Amino acid sequence: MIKHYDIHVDREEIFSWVVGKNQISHPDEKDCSTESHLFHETEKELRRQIERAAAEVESAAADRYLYSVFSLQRPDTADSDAEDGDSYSSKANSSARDKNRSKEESIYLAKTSLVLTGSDICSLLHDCGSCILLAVTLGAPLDRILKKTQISDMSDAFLLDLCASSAAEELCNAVNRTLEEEFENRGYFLTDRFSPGYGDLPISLQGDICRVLQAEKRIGLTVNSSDMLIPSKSITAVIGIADRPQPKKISGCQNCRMKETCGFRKAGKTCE
Amino acid sequence: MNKSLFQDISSNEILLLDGAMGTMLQNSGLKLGERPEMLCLTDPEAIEEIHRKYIQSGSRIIYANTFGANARKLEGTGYSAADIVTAAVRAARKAASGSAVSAETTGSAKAGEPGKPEEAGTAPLPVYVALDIGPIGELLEPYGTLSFESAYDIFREMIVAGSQAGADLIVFETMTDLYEVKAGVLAAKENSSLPVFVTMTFEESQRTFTGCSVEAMACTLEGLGADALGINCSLGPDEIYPIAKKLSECTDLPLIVKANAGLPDPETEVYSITPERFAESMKRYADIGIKFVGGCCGTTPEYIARLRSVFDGYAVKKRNIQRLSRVCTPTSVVRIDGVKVIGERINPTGKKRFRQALLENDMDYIIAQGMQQAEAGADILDVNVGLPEIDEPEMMVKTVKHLQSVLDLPLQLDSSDPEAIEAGLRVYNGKPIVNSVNGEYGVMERIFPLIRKYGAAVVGLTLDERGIPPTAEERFAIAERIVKTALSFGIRTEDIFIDCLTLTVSAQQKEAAETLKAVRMVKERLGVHTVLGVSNISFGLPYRDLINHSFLMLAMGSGLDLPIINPNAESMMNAVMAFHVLSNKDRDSAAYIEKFADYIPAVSHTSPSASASAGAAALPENDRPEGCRSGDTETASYNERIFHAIEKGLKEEAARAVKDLLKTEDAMDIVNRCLIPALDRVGVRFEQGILFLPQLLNAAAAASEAFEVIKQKLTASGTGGVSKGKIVIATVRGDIHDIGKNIVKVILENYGYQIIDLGRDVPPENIVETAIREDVKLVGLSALMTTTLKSMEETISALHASGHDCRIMVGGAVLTADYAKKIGADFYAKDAKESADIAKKVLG
Repeated sequence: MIKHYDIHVDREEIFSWVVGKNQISHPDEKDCSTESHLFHETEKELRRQIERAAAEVESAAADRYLYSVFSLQRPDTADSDAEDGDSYSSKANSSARDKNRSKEESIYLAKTSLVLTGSDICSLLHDCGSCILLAVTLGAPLDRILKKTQISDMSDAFLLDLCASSAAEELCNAVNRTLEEEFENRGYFLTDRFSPGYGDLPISLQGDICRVLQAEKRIGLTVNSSDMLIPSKSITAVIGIADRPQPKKISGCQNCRMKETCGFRKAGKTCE
Repeated sequence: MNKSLFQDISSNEILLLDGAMGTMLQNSGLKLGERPEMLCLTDPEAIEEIHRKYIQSGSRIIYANTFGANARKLEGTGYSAADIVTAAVRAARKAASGSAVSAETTGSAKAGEPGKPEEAGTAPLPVYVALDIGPIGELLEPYGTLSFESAYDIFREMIVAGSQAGADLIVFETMTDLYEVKAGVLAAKENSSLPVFVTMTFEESQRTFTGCSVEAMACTLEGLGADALGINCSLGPDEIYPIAKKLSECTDLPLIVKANAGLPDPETEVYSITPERFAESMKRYADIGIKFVGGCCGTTPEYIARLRSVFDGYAVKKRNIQRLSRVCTPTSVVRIDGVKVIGERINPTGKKRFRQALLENDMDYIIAQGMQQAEAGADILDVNVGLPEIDEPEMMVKTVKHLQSVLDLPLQLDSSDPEAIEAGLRVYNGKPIVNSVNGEYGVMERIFPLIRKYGAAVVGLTLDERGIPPTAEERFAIAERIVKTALSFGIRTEDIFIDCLTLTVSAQQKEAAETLKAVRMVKERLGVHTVLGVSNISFGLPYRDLINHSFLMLAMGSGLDLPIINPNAESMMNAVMAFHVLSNKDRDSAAYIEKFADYIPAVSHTSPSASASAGAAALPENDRPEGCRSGDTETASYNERIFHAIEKGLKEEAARAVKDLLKTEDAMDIVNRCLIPALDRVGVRFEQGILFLPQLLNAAAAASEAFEVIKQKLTASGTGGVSKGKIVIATVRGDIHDIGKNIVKVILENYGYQIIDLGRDVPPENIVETAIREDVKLVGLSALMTTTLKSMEETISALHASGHDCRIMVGGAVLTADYAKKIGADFYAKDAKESADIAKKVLG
């Protein structure tokens, strides 16, 4: 039977996204200037508004997900080792080496037509003999609510959009945690979750992952002609399965789901 | 149609379909992610062999290996849909032909004979080949970016090739989007004469992934002329049973079920249900009258063989369906089983502001009219977008699509132009009402075939070439003629609604009673539902609300089912609620009590005219905390009132304050001295980090209400708009993330700029063309993905290359000021507020 997850939106996270971390403690509660008064009043209203948006997302979003396990196959490594060995000693060879590398930096998924390319995914899966492909979506009806709210109330729409992105990420985390436990019980360890568009893993893989997982048929997830996931609040990802513990290292803006809407980045800051 | 197939469809013999093709191919080594359809070219014998195994197991209809053979999915393979479909149908035909040949001698005698399916050892029965069509693989508008029209073309290519290659029928399966199915069924009906079967995929919630309900599916596809309906994929037979049972109660079309063999294991991909259990579980489907039975993912010839032994000797059980009047969208079915309100506000007649919106292509205004009525409790929305100055069919298509992208109320397409009606019927998702025909034969002959073809309900007006007859009897006679003619066109009684016409009581006082009498006669004697445009009654009288509401009560008492009214007028909606109590429809007054339990009658005396105008201006209640709206705001200067209302995002208060101020001040003065400075102050506080984006947008919404009041005033006085200049905005090609662009739009509009919003995924040439045509001096482009920055750059180059004199501002998460400069933009806007600063710089 399929395990179900509650959709959850982290209100505090949304609040700090909107306000920016540096703002939370300021101004002083006892400061009785108009600005301070306005700020505190604003904060209260904002929290109420976030609560409404979060509740709406929680009730409208589906918890659809799908995963499958695949063995990994690497291209013949003998040659590339030799190439690597050479390259250490020969700088003149470097451009030829780069050319070869890009060709070699790929991993095949057995019994599928899928090839994962790029140095990031290859280093992530370095210790892995197999991997999980994961797809989650909050479903199309939520997109319609997002769209409708953009006409009726842009302010609510902005918060709904944030809440929905956060909920998709949370759903992914929840499924990920379950998988982690399951595999740990069997003596395996999972790598970080890595999505197309992170680092040098091409975004076009979103469509390939959907095809291999038959995501359209099973959870109603499709890509459009420019490789964007539809419904929009959806995630596809690769998780490696290794027989030894894996470092958790994926952080920073380039690997962050919020990078597209992040207020910190706009202001030239980060949340680190 | 193939005659023996026709007999087999209408006989009461249960027919076996086949099982999965994909599962069989994977078992013999097909890789996941590869196109199984390609094998029709590379290894047709293997495909043929699978078909043959299913035929040997008892399949009477085999699905050709064409599920994903559409142009979209075959992109990059070097083959057209026609290539693959032709080869696939040929392979299936070849497998089927052995049986078909010998069947010609025995088939016709056998078909139609109840309860005696094929027995081993007797001459084989004909085997039919279905052109199998799955989803295109890309969601259609409004969820996705693929247009309805493109979907139609994609399906047409498959259908033409399939019929030419000799398919016997067309099956759409695994569908989750009713809109996509509609494109497909229309393409099938318009490009072939083959029977059309449709099976959709539901979740246990009895909805598809896009929210389509079983009843909406039945209601819409029956109307479009599908020959059999059913369910396939996603779930096993146990889980599908309640969904199939529901479907069997919604339609009398033959029922199809192809369940999965349970669920696949994520590691081994092996399905969980054995052939024995599968067949055992399918057995009970005989009780709900199943006609076509097969298997989906995970099933093999063994499953079909088991089904054959289970259904051996069973005849199709007859179902008695109660025919209901209903209209629908994919997500919402409205049954006309009591009074249902049709909202009248989407109509330019007598509404200057609405006419202006039509002329300016202001879709947001039009949709907002729909959303208000939906919130006020309308069940159905009338859509009339006819103006002599505009292309009505085009506007009808646009309005229907836009309304359906955000609302799930069924629509009533209201036009006297048959082309506009057909255009609307074509793109409508679900089953709509058409308003209207009348007793003229010419009109009926033009419109009824459209009603029949698209499966709509229709309103007939009791008038003809001689006008509106004065007496109830004469109107009844026309109604009778309309019903009779509609039936002769194959339209069902439950889809005919009669409008006995409301005349203005101040001009034709005697005839109000005739209208009511005619309603009663039509309802009682013709047994059809009735419609009336109620608001006409009170033209020319004071306190129109009272007359409207009283007439509505009388009309409902006479048998009116579908009043066309202004749902924003509370007294009208309340009258409907009261009627449902008095007519024993609202059992135990439950709905009434729920709404009015805390009702406290207003104590203050309000003059009739004041309350009437308040009703007309009623907007959805702003449910935000109103903060400190104390008495002192009334005494404070108007300026302060407006500042306060905008800053706090109080929409109604902002509108009221501006209305008051307009009594003494010039409209443009209010814009420049109050509204813009108020927005500026909010903007500064946003920059200081005292207010945040949600509040900035709330303030913008309040300012927008204020602007709306000013706009209405200016439209009424004919002094033109408030526009400080035009700005084109768009999310560039390939990008579907448009929330950033929409935020910018809201803010810019509030500074008085006229925004031409081209939407998302907009090709460069479209932006250039609009900028030139509208002579726009500022273009705003948005892109949210690194992958779509390239389209932004192309758009900028195209604008430069066109030689059109305009400035370009860009924004979006992944952009930086440096990058914006690099790709040739004039300005980089880091947020919506800054885009307003840029607009001020460029346009003043």
